[in-house]
Amino acid sequence: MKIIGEKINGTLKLVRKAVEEKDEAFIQDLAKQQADAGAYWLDVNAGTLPEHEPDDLVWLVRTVQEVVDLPLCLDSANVEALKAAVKAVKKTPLINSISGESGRLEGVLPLVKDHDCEVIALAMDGNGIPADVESRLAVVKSLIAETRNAGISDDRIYIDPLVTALATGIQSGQVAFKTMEATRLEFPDVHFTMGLSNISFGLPERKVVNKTFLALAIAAGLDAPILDPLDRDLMEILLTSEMVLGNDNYCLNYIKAFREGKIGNKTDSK
Amino acid sequence: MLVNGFVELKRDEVLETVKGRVEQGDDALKILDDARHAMTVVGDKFQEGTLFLAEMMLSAEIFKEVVTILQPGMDKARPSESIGKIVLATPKGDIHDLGKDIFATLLIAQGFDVHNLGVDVDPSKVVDTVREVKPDFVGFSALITTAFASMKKTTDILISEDLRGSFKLMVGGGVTNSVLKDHVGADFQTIDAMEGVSYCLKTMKEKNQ
Repeated sequence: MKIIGEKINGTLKLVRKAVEEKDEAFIQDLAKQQADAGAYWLDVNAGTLPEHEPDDLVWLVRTVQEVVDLPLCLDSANVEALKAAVKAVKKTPLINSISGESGRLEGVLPLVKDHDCEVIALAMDGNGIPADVESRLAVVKSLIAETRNAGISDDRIYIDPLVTALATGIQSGQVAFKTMEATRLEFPDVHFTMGLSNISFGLPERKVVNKTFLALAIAAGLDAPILDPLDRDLMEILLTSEMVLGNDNYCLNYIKAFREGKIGNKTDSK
Repeated sequence: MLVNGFVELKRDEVLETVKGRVEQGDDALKILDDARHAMTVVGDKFQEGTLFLAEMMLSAEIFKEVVTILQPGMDKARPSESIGKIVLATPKGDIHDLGKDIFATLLIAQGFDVHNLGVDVDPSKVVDTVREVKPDFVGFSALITTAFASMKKTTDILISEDLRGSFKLMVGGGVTNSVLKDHVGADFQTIDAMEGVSYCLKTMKEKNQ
């Protein structure tokens, strides 16, 4: 299980403000906190206007790398921003993302190949997010055909089956799970990533929905979730799910987290 | 009667009531008007947070079924007058549609004639639709900044084709702000669907005075 820490995202108001004001301390604090909490990658998304994004993303990369050693997840739909940022990273990054949308693959794939990156591939194309499993699998197949063609091995690919809101389609969770299942049958080496919070859009008590969804998604094969590692509830569910599924030998990670006070009742843990 | 049925999401009850009124010879447009009013109440409750999105989606489904039942009666009557026309699109470069579709649902509930062009929409498609439909509003929705360039491009074409003067331009969605509003020369910007609906209603009211 490798966590992509989601907090340095310019579409969040405070982060956007920090990017605009070049507030290094704010960004570095988010980076350190997420690293301490167990993130494997840190997502960096500038979220600024296309003409400023390359400079802003490079600034984020440099700012974060001053305080943490983790590899970064370069998050942008803007090829120019990714190009600039990939030159600034110290460790091989995860590129977020490619998809079947026109222009996206052509622009990003050479970058992934030339810099030997890992890459997130979204199960969608220019027509949006396909409604059913078969159409999403078709997009995944055509994307993997392209990455293989570019000489990128399957184990460097993180498929995002895409999560939509239960409020607007009650099969949203099932479609994501079944897309992972169908993908794994054809491509056993690929990894799976996804954001969690879309699932609960428009529902009351979203956190309850998100954490239940996380547990079920891990059971369905999710191994690189995009989440807030400072969210104690989510981290509890993540560690427990891994253990229950038999992926935590001798329950060591679970026990370690308990000793560090990362799970259980905050005041009681020792 | 219809209002309660809609708010409590009693689909069968609403459909039975509508069918019953049709059989009694009630005017289809009058029934439709009642259903629209009920949807307005649902929209208000959604805005104040007592009804949730999933419930609003269901009420929109019920509304659609009501329209289907009423359709034969309405075809016989004079064509129904919408209170305003709007063309909606997530412009080329973005494929997010949840916010746009919520906005569309709320507008339909208010009696607007909504031309929802979908996602990743080419400038030419927007321009063609504007020429054909002659809308009162054009709305662009975006969740990510990659749609900004095509928003600007679409607007520039509308200006050069001399179409821009005939409608109000609205931009909405998570990444939109007043900078974008000025950049594309929009008349209105929001990240709140109900605020957008209020703007449309207010504008039509002023127009009809």
